[in-house]
Amino acid sequence: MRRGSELRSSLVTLLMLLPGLAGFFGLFFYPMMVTVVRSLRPEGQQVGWTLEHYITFLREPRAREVIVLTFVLSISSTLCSILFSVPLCLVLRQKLRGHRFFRLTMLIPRVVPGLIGALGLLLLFGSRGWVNLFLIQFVPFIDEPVRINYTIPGLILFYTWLYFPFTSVTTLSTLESLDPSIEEAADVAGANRWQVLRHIVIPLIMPGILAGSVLTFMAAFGAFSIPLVAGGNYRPLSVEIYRQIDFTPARWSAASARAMIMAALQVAFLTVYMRILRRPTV
Amino acid sequence: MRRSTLFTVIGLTVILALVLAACQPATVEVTRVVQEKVEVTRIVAGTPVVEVVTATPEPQVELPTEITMIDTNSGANFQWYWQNQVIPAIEEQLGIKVNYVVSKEAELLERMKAWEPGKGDAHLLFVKPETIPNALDAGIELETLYPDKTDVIPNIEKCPKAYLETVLGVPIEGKGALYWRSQYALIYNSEYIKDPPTSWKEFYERREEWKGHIGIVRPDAKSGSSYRIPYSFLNAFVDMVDEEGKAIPLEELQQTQEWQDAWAKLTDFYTYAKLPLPAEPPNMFEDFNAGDTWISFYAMDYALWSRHQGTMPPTIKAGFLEEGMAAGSDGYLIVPAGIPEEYKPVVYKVINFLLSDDQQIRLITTMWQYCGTDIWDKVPGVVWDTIPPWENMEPSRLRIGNSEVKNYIKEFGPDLLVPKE
Amino acid sequence: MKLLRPYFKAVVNARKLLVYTFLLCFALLIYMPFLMIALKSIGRGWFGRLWLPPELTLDWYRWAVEVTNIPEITKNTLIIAALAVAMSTLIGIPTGWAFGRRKIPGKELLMSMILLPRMIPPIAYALGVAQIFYRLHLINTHFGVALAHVAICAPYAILVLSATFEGLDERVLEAAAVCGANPLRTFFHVILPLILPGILSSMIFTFTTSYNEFTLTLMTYGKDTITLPVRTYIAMGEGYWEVTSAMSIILVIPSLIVLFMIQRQVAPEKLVGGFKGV
Repeated sequence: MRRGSELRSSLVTLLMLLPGLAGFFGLFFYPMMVTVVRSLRPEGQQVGWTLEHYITFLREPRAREVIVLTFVLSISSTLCSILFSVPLCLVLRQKLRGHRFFRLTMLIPRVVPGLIGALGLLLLFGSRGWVNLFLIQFVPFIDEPVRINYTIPGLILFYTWLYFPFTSVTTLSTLESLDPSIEEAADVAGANRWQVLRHIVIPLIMPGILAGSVLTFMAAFGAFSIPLVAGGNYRPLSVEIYRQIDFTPARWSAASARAMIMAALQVAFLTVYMRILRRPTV
Repeated sequence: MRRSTLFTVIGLTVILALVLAACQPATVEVTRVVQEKVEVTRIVAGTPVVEVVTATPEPQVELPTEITMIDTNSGANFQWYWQNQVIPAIEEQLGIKVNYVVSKEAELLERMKAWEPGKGDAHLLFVKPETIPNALDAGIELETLYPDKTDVIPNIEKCPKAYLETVLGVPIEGKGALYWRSQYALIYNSEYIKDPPTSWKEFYERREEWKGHIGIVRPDAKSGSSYRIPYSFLNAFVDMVDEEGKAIPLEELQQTQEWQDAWAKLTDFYTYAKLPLPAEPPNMFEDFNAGDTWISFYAMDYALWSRHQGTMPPTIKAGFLEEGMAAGSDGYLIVPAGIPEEYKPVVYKVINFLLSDDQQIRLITTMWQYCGTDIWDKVPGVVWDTIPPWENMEPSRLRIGNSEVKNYIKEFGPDLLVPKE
Repeated sequence: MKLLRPYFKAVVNARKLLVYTFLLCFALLIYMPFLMIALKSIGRGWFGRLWLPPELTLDWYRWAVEVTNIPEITKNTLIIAALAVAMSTLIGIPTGWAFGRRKIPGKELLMSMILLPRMIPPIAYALGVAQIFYRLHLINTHFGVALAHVAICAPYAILVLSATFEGLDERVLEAAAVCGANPLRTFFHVILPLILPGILSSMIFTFTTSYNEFTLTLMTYGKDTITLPVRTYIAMGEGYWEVTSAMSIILVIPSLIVLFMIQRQVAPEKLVGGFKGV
């Protein structure tokens, strides 16, 4: 009897998973298999198997640099997004006057095409841009333009600008579906604001923060147009993949191998990340 | 326990099936499944499939009157020209409707690889020169336009033969028709530079004057300027092709003292550039506009257009470097072999029209772009008030003849040339 | 006690001031780069040394309009985005439910796998996509392009909705069951209002993603299904920032209108009241 109901429940789960899995397998898995096969073929050939592309890339001295850079950029911009989004959402939740405007503001970076967003940022923070004009004219002791473009902190700032909406929108939506009575109860029980926040609100919105930061992370990890135009000397994995395609003849096998390495790194990181954050804390 | 077994079994089956499908994309089984699905999608999708389906009956009697042209070469200014000048003219004079679609090279080639034979949906392509060898390398077949099709495209005879035989040092055997010629030149801001260099040697010797203000695009940029700048520089110090115009193998070249000196100079030259090196040309132009970059080497038509439109300072000027300035993104018209046969005569007609004297003169008088055909005596003289006369330009025009050097720059340039900060 | 009140008030006011300063900085940070693009699209001869362009012009908008058939292309883009949003949401609700409320062996791994399409540069798997779509004759149909977008939009829907389902309060569902509501009624009257904020944010992500998607569109579009981002990115070539800026401003307007409408329709404060009575 118990066996039967367990089986039934797992069948229901499977049935519900089906649309997602069907979409994944139907639309993505076959293309991905083509890429896997391609990454295992000798360059430009349809037959034969080789691991050469993986080995050459991982042996390159640049490989480690590129991978570390990709992780540094994506992890730090994810952290910045969380640090920026949580207070913002807590403020917006209070429904201050004009909160609608700020809600829409939050989406601006998502609606601007990435490349154009990068242009706006480059102009704003450029050596003759508004930020430097302001600093030079109004802030004492700054006479030289401050270099922001094409530096690591600048890049993190750009990434955060572009990808924080993932975190903030998701966090806000979880915050909004929170039952106010829980907090009220805590309030009645004599907890102060900070305690309520620390022990009640944050743990409750954790799934939202987690999902949002995962979205930010993967967007940052796979970002292409921003590092391409705003990266200067810093060129992460996605740019490296495009570089292989740009050779004459295009090195599709090498590019595919790099894509597979990128995929493996992301899956490994996200699995661990979700495991850690999902663990019941506090 | 049972649940996870269920998941594993189902998951593994699906994965196995898909792996098999991916390894052999053209098996009979797969196509049969697809056939069934086609029926379904036709009902769902309704009209849009018609183009492919209706094209087949009676090819002899009725020629298609609508073709699709894909452009991966033009920037905004030429996209405007195609849509507002050329395509209406084709429709008016030939009665052929051209659907103008823009795309990018890598994506376009990937799509063409997925074509079913004889069912391609892009009939005429307008591409950058490097696309032709790239397509041939990827196993995409192109129609040989010269000399095979001279009877249907008589105007192709006016294109210079060298351009139909090789592109960037790679033989293309007449698989493309030359529509326009683009030219790189010295671009400088006369606000900062009063007496620009007139040769690469002078440019190199006076590099100290412009330290930190020379614009050089990264060697791994997507733009062709990534290799055109260093190639032109090297060309001034070392011969990379022999007297007959054949490329000297890179290995042989690297043994020579001249090459080693030239490469050392090039590496040195990069350290005088504006740092970090601009990743793509738009970055370089932002540097130009901000006054950080004073002098560079780029496509003349873009610089002149930008100055004219007010998107670059009015003090921007173009100049000559006598040892040779690389040819830019010459525009080639190509016809994929994988399109339905009945479309081909129509496409040839369009190509012939595009290469006609009237269209070529419009190109140079409206857009100030050098023609693809050699009809210089028919070009009105006033054109040369705006752009340098072709007879002055041609001697310093450098067609990249050594593809190995070009590829070497793209591959090892990022490590060897880009200065560490 | 009375003496302390002004101080108390001051502290509260300072708090408010702080909050507003924070919001102001936030808005400035977001809008300034956007403003740069807007200025670039109406300015001429502005090379960054001045605060504002010396000469204003609408030429770039004229260019943008002449280069593209804006109404037609906007229509295509919106149809495709709407289809992609609908399909992704339909996929996302059941899958998100399964992920959020059920025990699944290797959940994290499975989830990261499902997110993969969004993380890898689409050019890496573009060939396979083109092969499938050519075989199924879906090239150059709105449905086909939207279907290709689903590959990268669905991950958002699944992830966001699974987080929403995970956050659902068990007691509400139990209460509904106790009251004797059948599953369908429970879903529409209890669960749906509760997860609407989640659906809303997943719709925002799927919409903006589909609206801005470039590579997958290039693999599946045709003459009748050109979208705005394709035009914008390619018009840029190797420069032409001004024209492209004008195009992107045009591109941003419809999507902002749509997002504004989505937010209006599913206003969060309306929702909160909805389930209180349960």
